[in-house]
Amino acid sequence: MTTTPAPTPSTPAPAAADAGIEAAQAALAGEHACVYGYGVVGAHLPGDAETARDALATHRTRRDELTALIVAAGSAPVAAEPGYALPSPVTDAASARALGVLLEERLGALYADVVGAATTPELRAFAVRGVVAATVQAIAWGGAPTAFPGLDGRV
Amino acid sequence: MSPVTQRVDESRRRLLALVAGAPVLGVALAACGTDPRPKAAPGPRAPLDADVKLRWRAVHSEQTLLALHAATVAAHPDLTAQLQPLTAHHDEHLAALRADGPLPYGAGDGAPAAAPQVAAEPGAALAAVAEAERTAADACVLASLAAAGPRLAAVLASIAASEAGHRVVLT
Repeated sequence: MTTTPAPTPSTPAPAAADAGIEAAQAALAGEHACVYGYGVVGAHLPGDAETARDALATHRTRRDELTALIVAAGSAPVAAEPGYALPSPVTDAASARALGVLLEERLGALYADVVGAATTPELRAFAVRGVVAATVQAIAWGGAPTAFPGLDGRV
Repeated sequence: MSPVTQRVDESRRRLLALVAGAPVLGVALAACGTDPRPKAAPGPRAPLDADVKLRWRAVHSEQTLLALHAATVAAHPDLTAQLQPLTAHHDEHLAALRADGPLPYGAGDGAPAAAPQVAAEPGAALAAVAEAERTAADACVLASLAAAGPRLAAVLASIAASEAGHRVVLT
């Protein structure tokens, strides 16, 4: 039907249908979990308390920035859970560092998802920095360097 | 199981699973394999051709790093154990970048023309590798921001992170 007007390309898609925002929400949930997790990590790293505090501050900042990006896109940002189950008990400095590595490596994978799914340059840029920062922090906690951080087993 | 784990109810557990769980795009990346090639693309060709260029530049960057690693190890065999695992990552980067499609610019097969200079002092040689990794990581970040294809963007971001990590372990 030639009389039917074509959909205007500038009409924004519903925010809920945006895969980039969906991935950003998953990354935000990951940042919430990291903020919780670093509280546990810091409590068991008296020698590295400052490092853990810096990491915690970094994650809080990124959580707030990501929240702002999601709000700006017209979506309601996911909230933090009141508490989280730890994947394994944290009882000493070694297990605290191991949790730090795990948190960062998983967060890196969530940000790698956002890189691919992002539909705005702002979100893409935020996510690329997120993958790099999480990888560097995982190595700082004793993680092993890999060829494809965030995409391990997916390339 | 720790007391913490036992106390946490199922709804709280789910969010940990979210952090812990399979990333959302994992399925998409596996299913797509590669981003659309210029030939098959329904959209405008320009951004996809630009992606080929980005991929070619990334290939060249990996070759330059591999040449530097090889020259460094040749000059300082004692650094082999430290560099070899990182060299293997660059081999993987190169293979992934090449596997994502043809590189029609007639390049990308040859090693860099000039042999890299390596410092006589091992510490300085290693520092030069770390610096080269940092430069390559920065270039990959910019390439990831510029990439049109989601897979290429994610791969370049991951390579940037890998090389930023190399710099950390080398310094």
